[in-house]
Amino acid sequence: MTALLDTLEGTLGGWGTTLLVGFVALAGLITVNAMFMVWFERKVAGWVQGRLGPMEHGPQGTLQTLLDVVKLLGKESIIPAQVDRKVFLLAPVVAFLPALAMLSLLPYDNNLTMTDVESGLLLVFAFGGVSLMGIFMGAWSSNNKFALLGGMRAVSQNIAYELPLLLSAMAVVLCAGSLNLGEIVAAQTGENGLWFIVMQPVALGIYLIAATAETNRAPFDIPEAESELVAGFHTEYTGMGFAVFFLAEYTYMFIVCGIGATLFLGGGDGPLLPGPVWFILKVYFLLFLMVMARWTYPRLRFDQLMNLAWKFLIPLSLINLLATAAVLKFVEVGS
Amino acid sequence: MSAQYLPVLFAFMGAIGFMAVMLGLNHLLGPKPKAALTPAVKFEPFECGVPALQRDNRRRISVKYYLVAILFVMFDLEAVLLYPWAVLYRELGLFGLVELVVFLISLVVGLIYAWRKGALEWQ
Amino acid sequence: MMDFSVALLYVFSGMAVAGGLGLVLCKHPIHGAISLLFSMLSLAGIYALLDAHLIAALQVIIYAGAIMILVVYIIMLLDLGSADAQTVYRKAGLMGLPLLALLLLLLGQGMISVAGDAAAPPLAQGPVVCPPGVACETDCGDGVDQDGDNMTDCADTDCAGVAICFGTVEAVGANLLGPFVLPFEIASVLLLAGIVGAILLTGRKPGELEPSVPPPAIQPGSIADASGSSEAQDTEGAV
Repeated sequence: MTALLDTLEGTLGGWGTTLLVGFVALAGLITVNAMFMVWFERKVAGWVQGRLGPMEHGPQGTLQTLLDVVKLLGKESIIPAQVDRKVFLLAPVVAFLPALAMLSLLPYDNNLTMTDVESGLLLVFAFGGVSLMGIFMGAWSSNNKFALLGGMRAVSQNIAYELPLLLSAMAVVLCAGSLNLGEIVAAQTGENGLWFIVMQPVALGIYLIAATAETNRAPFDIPEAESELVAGFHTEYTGMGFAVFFLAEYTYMFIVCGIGATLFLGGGDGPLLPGPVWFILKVYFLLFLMVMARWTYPRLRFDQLMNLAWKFLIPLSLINLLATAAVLKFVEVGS
Repeated sequence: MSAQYLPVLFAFMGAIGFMAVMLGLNHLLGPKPKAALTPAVKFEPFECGVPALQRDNRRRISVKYYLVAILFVMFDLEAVLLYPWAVLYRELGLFGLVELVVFLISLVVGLIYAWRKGALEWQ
Repeated sequence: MMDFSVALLYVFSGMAVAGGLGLVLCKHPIHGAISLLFSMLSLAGIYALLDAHLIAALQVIIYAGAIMILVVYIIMLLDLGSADAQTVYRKAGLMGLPLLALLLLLLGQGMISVAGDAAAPPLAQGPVVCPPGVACETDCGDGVDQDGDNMTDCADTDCAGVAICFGTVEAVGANLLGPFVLPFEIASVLLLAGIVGAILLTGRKPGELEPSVPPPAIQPGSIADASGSSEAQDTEGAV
């Protein structure tokens, strides 16, 4: 392994090697995360519902998803006759492209990050909006009413929940005084540092609800409500086209939980274990909460969903923001 | 360009490569039945067991979606404009709090107006 | 490094122009909107090249995210298809040619006149030079407030032109909440006007919050009466 790295460093230079190794790691993270999450979700579902879940392949069914991927690779990719071919083929790419860029912005530990961008937090939220266009493109080009309805719902839901997401993250920015993800972690891990979950429990709650809705997860999964919309925006996709949308969804789940861990749980901060391990543990703890929510709560109706965003979460996050600002100022004046 | 954005740019390129590999593999491994042997109904838009009623399913959408979108653009702009304020808050002194209240008043007035006018109701 | 940025600038500019051309030339409005998305993203790339960190992120979040959604919603609301474009806009395109020529002329003239000027001075690397007799933030990277105005480092407007501060959230915010606070507030009022306008345009008329026509009350005998007539059932279905 070291010999290989040395050879690489000879040809590419130190910087290029870091970049290459980083991207191979991120591509691995995307694949392993998706495969693990699908298995994990089915296992949790089984546990919640008092059954076993996948058991056939590998110990406790761990190889199930890997075999599913192989199966998907061997599927025929059907392009229906009346779709808009160019947009249909471009859509999964646009939905997936920002995922790797967002992963490269996450701070896995103090020194372990692909890049430390000046306003990283905003950039992560921004790329999420780009992937939304991919969902819309897939829905529109499919020329299928289920897909179109699912896509319209996905877009409306995503934009409605982006506001509480932005406003709850803003309360943390207020405490940290920076948009740089590394500095936000540093603000929680210094000598007097306190994880922002202590100061901002309300913001964490709003963030988790909004993040669940942003990733189209149950109980906010009406864009792909299978009982009414078949499969939502990816109804017409087969084989890898479908798999790419699926992969994108699970990657975005990792990303929103990664941002959640960074903003509220101190990133890679923790005793004994190395930072990246803590980071991954926190991310999967948040993911576990998301999976539990899926198997606990019934699906919301669309009007309930929009009401929750506009009439509850947005006013609540504004109040939270104002209260945070006032308290910070009084503490400042008092000291 | 400051080098901090280069990995982001390369990430986009890497993602394109990743997609190419996955879609290419699927293209190589997937079955390719002859077009003559495939029934035409296979390429129809998905429908629950009945023949599709219309060929073009891209219908006009309700104005409700548009209203949600334009409200989102407005509130999104306000939220994003508040970010520089949030970053600088600690240095701004009492002026920062006053500034937030003034800014929030216009935002909240907009929200209350939309609420009262029933623009937030989904019917 | 310099050459690489210049090459990237050309790539991004080319993509932005190609996206703009696609917007105009694509027959279907949704295809045009997708071209516009790539144009917007390329512009964000150019802003990142210019070290305008905040603006680059805002470009993606506002234009590539929010505005693009609004654009495709408007296209779908109006149900514009490629057929409309062919019948109406082909002739209109010819009428646009003189305007295009005029625009290119003006742009070319502007570019030639700018090319004659000296290139913009590079960003300052060292300490800020204060005007005589005025205290200012001299060192923008030390975390110390030199001039005692409570604004440290990049948060002080004195530092806006220094390389380590240029384009950062702190530097832009310091200007936005300092010298330009009035336009900043006016922007929020403008957005409020936008919200009100959008609701008035799309909403129901005043006093029509409740549906003005109450749903017809179901009379006990009506279903039995109508059961023989298929016409009555059809109207029922249409409601």
